[in-house]
Amino acid sequence: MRLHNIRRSMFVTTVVMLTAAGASLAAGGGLSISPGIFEHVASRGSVGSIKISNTTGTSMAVSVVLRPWLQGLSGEVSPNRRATLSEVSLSAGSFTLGASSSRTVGVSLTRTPPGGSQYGAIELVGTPTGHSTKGIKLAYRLVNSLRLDAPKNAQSFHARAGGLIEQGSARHGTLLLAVSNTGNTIVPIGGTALISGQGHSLRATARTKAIVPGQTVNVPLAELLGSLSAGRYTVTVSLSQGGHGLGKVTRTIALR
Amino acid sequence: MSAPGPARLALGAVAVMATLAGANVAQAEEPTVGGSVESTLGLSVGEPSPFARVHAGHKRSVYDATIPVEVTATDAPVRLSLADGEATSGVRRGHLVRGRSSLAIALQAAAGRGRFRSLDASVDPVLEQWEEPVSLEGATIRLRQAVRGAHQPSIGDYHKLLLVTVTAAGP
Repeated sequence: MRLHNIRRSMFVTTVVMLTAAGASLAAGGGLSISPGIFEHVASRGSVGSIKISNTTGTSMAVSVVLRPWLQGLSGEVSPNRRATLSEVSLSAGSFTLGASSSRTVGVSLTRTPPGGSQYGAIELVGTPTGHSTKGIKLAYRLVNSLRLDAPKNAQSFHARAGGLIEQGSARHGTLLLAVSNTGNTIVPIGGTALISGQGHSLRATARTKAIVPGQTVNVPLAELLGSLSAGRYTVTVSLSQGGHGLGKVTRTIALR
Repeated sequence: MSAPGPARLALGAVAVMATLAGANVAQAEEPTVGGSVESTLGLSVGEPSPFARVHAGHKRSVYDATIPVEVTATDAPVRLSLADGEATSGVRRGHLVRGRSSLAIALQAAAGRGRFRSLDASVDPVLEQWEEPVSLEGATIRLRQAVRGAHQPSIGDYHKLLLVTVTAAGP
């Protein structure tokens, strides 16, 4: 009986949560894009479509632009607002989307990308019409991922390791390895590290990072929390990408 | 087009809750509650509040405003940021403008209790980040504008188009 009550109260709580959430969505409206990640094999011609919905009570001037990613050394990406992807085209780049309406935009690959794949951002900007020109004016900007993968038999998994970086100190820091993705997939790159020296040895699992082909990211190998003393160490890293071994690299570093 | 695997949001959570609750009940009939939702990214933006002066001084005054937003994303991580919609570079980036002039101090933004970040930086500041998919997740963006000088301009005469930005799932 008590369990029944618990289950009933959970159900009621859930219904209240869903109702509250629904009320919020209905009241606010907004701009949305589906799918959240656009992924397709990079084959010339049409590769699908995206659906853009305006559920607000105001029409919007909408622009859709495909841009390359800018990737920082920490792995964070943002669309390069000064560039566009030349190999991919849209059936409509700018249009007015009426209140409570949606539109489907086709995506086509005009030519096979040089590396066999193409990764970038779909940048959707919706500016509500009829706002004043004074003060803060707001527009919606949705950025999602465009992934045009090389066909399975043309995927290449390669990486080049750069130098080791000590962020912080041996007492409280992170050991990172600069890794460039020289393959043509976005599959995250990670691996394992063996750190030895000063009479110590430490095994660590690197945190995986999705690296845009051609870009370089500092991959965290190990958290340094005082388990290693300051001094010179040899670090052997086995890199892997989606189950594919990318080889071993050995580097030395003097931890502070 | 093939979307990523089925994303489960609120209904998925309900299914998990129901399953957990049912786990304690021996041989009880399990209601099947669950469902898939289309992979999507959505944003709702409320009206910004007008700038209110929170500090008044002869040399420097500070004005604050807020923007309520709501984010839905089936693909994590999800980042909320704010970008200048009028200038991608140069001295006007991140600054309120009026005609050819602009305020000397850049507009700043924060979300929740986060620290204020200047909007004139070369990289748009990430104000909030969620590591899991979110459904109608609310957040409040706070704007701060400081003005200085003996003859402080009225910021009501200045304007700026801001792009409330949601980025999903990284590369």
